[in-house]
Amino acid sequence: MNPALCLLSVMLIPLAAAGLALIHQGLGRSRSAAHAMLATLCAVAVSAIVFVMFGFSWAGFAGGGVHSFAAGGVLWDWLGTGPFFARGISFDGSDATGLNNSLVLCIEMFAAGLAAIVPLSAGTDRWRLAPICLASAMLAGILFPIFAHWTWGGGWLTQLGATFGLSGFVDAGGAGTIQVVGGLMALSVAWIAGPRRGKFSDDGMATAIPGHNIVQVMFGCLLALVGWIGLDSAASILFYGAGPLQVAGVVVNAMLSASAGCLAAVVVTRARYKKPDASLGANGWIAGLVAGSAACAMVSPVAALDTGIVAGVLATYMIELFELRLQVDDPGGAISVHAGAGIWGLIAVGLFGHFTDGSRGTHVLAQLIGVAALLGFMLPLIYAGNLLLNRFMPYRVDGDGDWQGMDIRELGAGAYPEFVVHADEFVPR
Amino acid sequence: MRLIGCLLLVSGFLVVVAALVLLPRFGLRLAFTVAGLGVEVLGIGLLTQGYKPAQKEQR
Repeated sequence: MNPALCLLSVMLIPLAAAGLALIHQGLGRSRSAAHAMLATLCAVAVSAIVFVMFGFSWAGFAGGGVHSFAAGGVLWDWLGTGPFFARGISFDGSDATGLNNSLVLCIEMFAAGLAAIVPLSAGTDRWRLAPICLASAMLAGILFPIFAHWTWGGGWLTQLGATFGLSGFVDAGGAGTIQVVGGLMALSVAWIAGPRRGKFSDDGMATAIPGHNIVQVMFGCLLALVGWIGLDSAASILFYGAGPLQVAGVVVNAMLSASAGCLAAVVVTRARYKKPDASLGANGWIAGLVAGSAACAMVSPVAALDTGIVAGVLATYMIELFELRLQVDDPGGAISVHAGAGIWGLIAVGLFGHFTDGSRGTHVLAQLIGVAALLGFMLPLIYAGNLLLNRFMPYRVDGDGDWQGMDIRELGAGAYPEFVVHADEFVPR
Repeated sequence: MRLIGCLLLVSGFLVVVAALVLLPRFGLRLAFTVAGLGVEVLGIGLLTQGYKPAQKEQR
């Protein structure tokens, strides 16, 4: 392992958070812009503190202590059991494995923050700040560490090869661990908070509520690219032993999958609506990054391109499905872009990945089992956790706050005090 | 409807885990895993349907 290259890559990850923050605040209304950015900072701050204090203990690392149980003649390694407050990590160089484990702590701390930012996009314009902080704490302290242990901490999903004669589940850049977990959290938040007032008419027709700053959204995409390259590179080095040459491949693959996702979304929207849609193009870009991150170091550039194209098309249609057919109000498209494209990315690893062990079929099966664990175990857990939090601290702002905007309602001041804020001509009162 | 959706999600996962433990052949494991995923997708669909009436109240 090249620790300097890994550390350098880890330092780029916060740019992914900055990019996602710009995207979801730009796709929301101007009257909630300051709230969206403050919510992002709070989510990252809370998740960093809670993860380092508690979450890392559950997430663990390969070779560390674990909670396991025996069932069906198999030992199921399901949770890490390190000491709280990161006391198991030595930063002074006295421990031979300390460097590796401290890098795991670094990358997972940022990864937990990224996962906490994803649902903000689905709750834009109505999710209150205090519940956001509580939900971020729950995500970083319990939910994210469980799946992080299964994939990055040597848990049962990575041991499918040894225990069941299959291949181990692969999630090199966190498509499942970060993006799908965050996307499923976004789905739960969208269900519980409900749609923005005026989003759907009485007969169920969706009203377009355009984002207030598409320029920031596009800039956010470029920032996210840099952050994603750092995330994919660091995770590939740390969890899959990628060398400098493979890291160069990771960079190329990340760029190609993002480009393919964006262009696919642009072409699809151009074909369907006669003009390319900027916000869906941005969503396609992020969908490409998300899907490509699962296999970043293990596929050829052509496979990364294919993964990105499918992700861009899939995200575009899923956004439409959720909004128009299922009436789920997700202003930033987080469910489709992070959960939908992330699941596709995990399956694409099995389909396109270069592996030295196991057949193509066993890899596909291992990836499908991972997806089943995300939908069948993590989603109910995430949903139940959010329901519980919503019972103690209601997620949704009251009716007046819905019209007033989250900035005035929760912060007492708007993001653009010198600008005249117009009424929503496009939303029936 | 929401409760049934949640139960379907968990059931789908249990189908996958049971197939992994009980079935030795690759083809059967794959078939049951795909079936389990199908049950989970059904669960998500039911949960989403379950939230539609509640959303009407918030319009």
